[in-house]
Amino acid sequence: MNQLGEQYLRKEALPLLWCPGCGIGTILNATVRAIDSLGIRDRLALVGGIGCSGWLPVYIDADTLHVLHGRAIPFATGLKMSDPSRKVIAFSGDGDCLGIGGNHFIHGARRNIDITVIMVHNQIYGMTGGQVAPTTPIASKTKTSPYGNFERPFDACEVARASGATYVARWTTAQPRQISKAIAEAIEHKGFSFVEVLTQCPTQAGRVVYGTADPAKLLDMIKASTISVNAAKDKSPEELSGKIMVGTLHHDQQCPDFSSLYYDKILKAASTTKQGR
Amino acid sequence: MINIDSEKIITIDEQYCKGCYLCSHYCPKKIIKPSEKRNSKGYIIPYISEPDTCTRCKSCELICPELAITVKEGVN
Repeated sequence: MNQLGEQYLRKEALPLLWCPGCGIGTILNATVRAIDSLGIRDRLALVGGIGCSGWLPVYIDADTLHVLHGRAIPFATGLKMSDPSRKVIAFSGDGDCLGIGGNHFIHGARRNIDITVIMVHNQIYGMTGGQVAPTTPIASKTKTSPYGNFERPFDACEVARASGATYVARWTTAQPRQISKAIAEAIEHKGFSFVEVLTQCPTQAGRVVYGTADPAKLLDMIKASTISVNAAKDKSPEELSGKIMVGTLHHDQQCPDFSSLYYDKILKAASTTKQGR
Repeated sequence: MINIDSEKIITIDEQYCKGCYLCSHYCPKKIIKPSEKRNSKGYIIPYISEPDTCTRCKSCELICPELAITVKEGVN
């Protein structure tokens, strides 16, 4: 265990439960680095949904909620509204965030509540045994789509941006420095921040979507399917078809966040009405 | 240049290593290699073959999903 691990992880919960080569550990590594670089441990509140990625906050030694399936964002919203000084980070998987909690995700982004949502995108429901998720690519033969998946996958970053999120970034676990920087930026950003991390799942998605269980090969394949925002600027739409954009996709610093609007305006209005009576 | 302390530039915590070899794959110098040794869980743990060539880029430390790798600060 390195020095950051010694400092920030719960020793009694170790070893980490993820399979060998799983990318969620890399995200944990990057998250701990981001928290350390900002020095916000005392003001931290973490929320985790259900699934492999829901266990991520459980290992970090800070105030943690491990909540219902798909309900990481509502709990984070409540937490932020009750104590706006907290830095709230919600960890959710792709199925948890877009499938079961899809509506909460849209409305969290719409309100522009000041929370950070880190979505671990492994393209499948990993923990339950490899069922089709809203992000599973077309033609993948999973446990619940033996003839290939016919459903078109979600683009979570586009959904977040269209719903009103003010910070949207996407990276892969092959770029741990960038994930750490994006998470730090997202935590600092006032408003709904969404960081999607494309992750390898050697046990489930690796075998059924990519056809290999080797984490290094999987990461190479995932990285090869992406293109950075800067590199995509001077490419034609034909060259970009089938490529996944990575980088900071959207950053709007002007839009006010929900908790500060609420405390500034609504509570002030409520107090003056009371005095008037 | 021979670094006297080079043996300890990279430390791998054998107890937590799960033998995924992402560190080895992302090492630009390819100096992290499988050893003969297994840890208590039965995973084949890596070792540093040529510690002197390490550039302290920290690629292995950052990618490690178990936070088991430490790269010592300093300059070669």
